[in-house]
Amino acid sequence: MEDSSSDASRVSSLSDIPEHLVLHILSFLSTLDAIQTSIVCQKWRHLWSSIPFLNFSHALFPRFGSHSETRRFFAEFVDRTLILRSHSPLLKFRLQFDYTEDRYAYHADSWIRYAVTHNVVDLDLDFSKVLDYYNYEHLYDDGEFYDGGELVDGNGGGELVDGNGGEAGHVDGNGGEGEQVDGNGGEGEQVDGNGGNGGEGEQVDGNGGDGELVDGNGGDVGGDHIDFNEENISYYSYYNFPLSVLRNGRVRVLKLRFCNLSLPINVSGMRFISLRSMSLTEVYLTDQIVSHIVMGCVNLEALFLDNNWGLKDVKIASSKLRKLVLKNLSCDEGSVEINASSLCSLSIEEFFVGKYDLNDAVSLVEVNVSLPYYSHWSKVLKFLGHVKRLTMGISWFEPLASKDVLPESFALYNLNLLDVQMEYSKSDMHVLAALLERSPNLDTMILNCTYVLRVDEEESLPEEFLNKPINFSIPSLRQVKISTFRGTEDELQFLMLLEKHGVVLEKIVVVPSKVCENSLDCLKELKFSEDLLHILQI
Amino acid sequence: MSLSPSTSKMLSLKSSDGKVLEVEEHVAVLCETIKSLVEDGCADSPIPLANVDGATLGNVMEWCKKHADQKASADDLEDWDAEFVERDQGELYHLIMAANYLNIKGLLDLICQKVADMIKGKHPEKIREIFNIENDFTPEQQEQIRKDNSWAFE
Repeated sequence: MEDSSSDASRVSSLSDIPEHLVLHILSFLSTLDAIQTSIVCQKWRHLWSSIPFLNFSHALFPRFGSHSETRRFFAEFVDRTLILRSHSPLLKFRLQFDYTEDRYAYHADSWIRYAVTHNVVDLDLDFSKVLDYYNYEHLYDDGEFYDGGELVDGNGGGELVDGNGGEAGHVDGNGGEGEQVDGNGGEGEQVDGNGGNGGEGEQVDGNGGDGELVDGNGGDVGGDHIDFNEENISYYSYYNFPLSVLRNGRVRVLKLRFCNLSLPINVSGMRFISLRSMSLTEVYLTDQIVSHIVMGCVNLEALFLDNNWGLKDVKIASSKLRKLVLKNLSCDEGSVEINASSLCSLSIEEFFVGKYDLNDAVSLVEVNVSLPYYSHWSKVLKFLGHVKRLTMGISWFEPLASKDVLPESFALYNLNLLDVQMEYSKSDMHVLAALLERSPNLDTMILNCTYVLRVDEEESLPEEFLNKPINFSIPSLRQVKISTFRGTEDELQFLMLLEKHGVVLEKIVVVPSKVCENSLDCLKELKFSEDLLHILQI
Repeated sequence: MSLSPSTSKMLSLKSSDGKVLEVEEHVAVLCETIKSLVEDGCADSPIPLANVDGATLGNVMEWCKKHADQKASADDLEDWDAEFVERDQGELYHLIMAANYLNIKGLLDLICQKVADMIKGKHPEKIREIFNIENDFTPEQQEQIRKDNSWAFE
């Protein structure tokens, strides 16, 4: 466009590509791979240091002896990279680091500070275990046990902090983490130790203190725990992400996994203007932390909560929030209350609480509900009145009798697209028929077949229910797509029903399941016209 | 709802080698460059695309057409994309240049990812071989870089 070098027709090799595009290519590599390209040719020698993405993966890092050693090399590698990279602009910083030892708190803090002071926009931090390390290596590596001892003690150091415990709002919460690391009961104090750190928030020094202690006592405890097995690893430390580090940065997208989150002490005064999207997975949270985050991140548009421990009564109140994803919680005595006037998209997946409330959701158009128990699903029904796109599973674990499926007044007048997970069983078909009856304006339906392992409850359904003929009411349905088609009797019957009842049906797209090679043969028997039936081979 | 395919108006695009391609507007506007022309009302006559040859333009529009299809699910697109990038290097570079020129982020990222995958985990010698890059370092320089970056080269 602007220079002749971008004339596509003259480009025949990678060396002809302009530098900014080579940088773009290199940005898809891990930082380690990118640095290793510096030896390819003169032109590439210094390119890596200008890549606006940093992507450090501990899991993909070469192994050096024990995992503790590998961890040390990895941390050094990140340190060196950041020093040599100097001041090139940075857009995205991704770190996957098996934290485990509190002595790396300093490192992690400084990496994150580097990213934020370099105006990073997208910050993705994953501190989860490199599982591979814990599967077999301990069998061959005696040195690890000693290390383990150190680690235990590192957490022991935490006890000290716990002593100051008042500020440690997280102490209990880490008890919760304890549950996660199941069967480690005896190690309770360590978990508490973590809690102490959790409460400490940004006080890096606190962590440093722990570190010193580690060295002091490492030996003894190492001895005590000489029989430790990595499988029983119970001396995890959790990195403590200090949210306040983002306050003057430009981070728009924050993803955290497997760590603690600490808020500034003066919560009421915090305002994180730059954040637009936040995803917290396996992060210890209290209901209060969630409310404070939503309040403090005044421009937050998307929030993802997945598998967080410590939650019970979740309250989310925001006028800016557009997308909310709630995943993986099981707390039947708990509740969720959402007040979000701009919310467009809501997803509730395996998120079980006793009560679901959604107020003021005038903008909601897209809902995804994955709740395999009808008793939960029926509680979110009231959210769906105005939605245009609905994704849901209908193979519920409880057997259903037809009259209970949907309340009489329930209707989905705006529903345009329905994406369903089902099994084509008799009861599923009745549920689907009931849904369709209430969705007069449905245009497109997508069906995904899932075979859920469940007891054969159909037998327990009343006879008259099972024998009742299925009628589809589909006056506006134009398109249907069937994924993972296996060619079963049930599926064929379903297709015939569709054809019979479709008023304006134009197109049925069938995507055969990869595991059933002959699934298509039976389609010939249907003798559908070629215009109607399309087969999508992948 | 955006424009549906049946009512979308057609745009003519003219490639650097003079080929004219008729494309539905809702497909063509996946190119930000074309979109801004349309929005400014400058998209009447065949739009000249001086930096994209006809064959590449055809490939680009094939991608746009697939990605403009609102009925395509994310999984479909992923499978389709995986097949789309199976081409020789020359075509990939042309696509990168065109995606950059036409400002189609999704396509640019897709192809760059593909090229990055060809680099990933390979020794420098192998990378030079695959991409036909000349080793313009002296042995001494090479040794020096290895030494300087020993932290990254084990």
